[in-house]
Amino acid sequence: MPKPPRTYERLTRPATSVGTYKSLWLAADHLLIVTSTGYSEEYQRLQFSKIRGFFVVPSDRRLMWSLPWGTVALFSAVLMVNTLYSGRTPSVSGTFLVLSAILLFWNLLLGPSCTVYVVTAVQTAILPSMVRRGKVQRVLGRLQPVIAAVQAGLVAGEEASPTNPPPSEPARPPTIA
Amino acid sequence: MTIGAELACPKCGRMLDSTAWIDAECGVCPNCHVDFDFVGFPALMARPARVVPKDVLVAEHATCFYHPENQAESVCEGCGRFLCAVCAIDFAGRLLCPECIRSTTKKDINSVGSRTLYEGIAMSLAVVPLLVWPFTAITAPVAVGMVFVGWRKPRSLVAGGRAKLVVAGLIAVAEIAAWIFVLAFIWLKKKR
Repeated sequence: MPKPPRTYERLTRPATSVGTYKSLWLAADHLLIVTSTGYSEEYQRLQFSKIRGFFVVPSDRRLMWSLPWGTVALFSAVLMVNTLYSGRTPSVSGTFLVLSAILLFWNLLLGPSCTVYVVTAVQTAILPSMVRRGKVQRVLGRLQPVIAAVQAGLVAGEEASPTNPPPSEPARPPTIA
Repeated sequence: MTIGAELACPKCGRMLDSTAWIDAECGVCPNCHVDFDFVGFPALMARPARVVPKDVLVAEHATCFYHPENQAESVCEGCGRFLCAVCAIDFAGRLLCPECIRSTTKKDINSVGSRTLYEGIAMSLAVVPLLVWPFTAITAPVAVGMVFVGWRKPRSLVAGGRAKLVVAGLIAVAEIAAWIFVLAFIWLKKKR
């Protein structure tokens, strides 16, 4: 079987969920949400011509990750100081402190967290793995001109239909397969 | 642009009236008080097109394959049937009839809904049983079989390589070779 042409470009890295991971891919005329279990994949397509907009809503994700790492770092620091005072080398608590501090700072460096919803005429769905403002701005910055170009032919008032194409597009003659 | 458009709050699902919007790009839901940013596109203001089929007025007019009372307005790009405005559906960039949509959803790259990842199954069958190694006597041949089955099957739309399948096959073959070696060794030892 010949290798199929590569039609999708990755927009976001997979975001893990319970038993699945989701990623977002870009095609010429649609967005593809891939939900994978490792044994099967499910595809959800969002045509650019049907996308009405994106909602970006703040979320507690940064706080939710900062709390456990901060707690571990704090306890490790207390244990390390205690170990130092007793005259021993704080190898275990020091390791925990360094690891939790790195994860805490990494989480803080990633920036504010958010949830992105895509709105179409029939649904409002969460866009997976777009959970930080910086990434959202980068991805939406890429998508906005593409979607705007696809919808440039839409006139306010009526949506194009197969038998009523937008004015910028000439009417297609019927073709026989 | 967005003010006045029919949009629901993504958090609570309540409709956002004009008081919810601070400007065209942000607002606060009056119900759940979540503040949001919004990036809108022209499709937001476009009303859904009304599909009105045309009646057959002259006997010589071609009629819709599915609705003989409607005049044909287009031709299905899949099967060539005449279609009225109701039956002509713009699907993945092609004008198709409902029957063609039903038949293409499983094989067309632009409409397939799901795929089985044989490489993932083969890899799991080859690697996971190593934790309880006697199981490899059963799972390794099954993994090799899965590699053969998956080789010609359609692969993932987004990660379509065969590398994982090859690696899974090699691991499974190595396990089978190890079993053959161990069994031959035991048999030879008993023979002496």
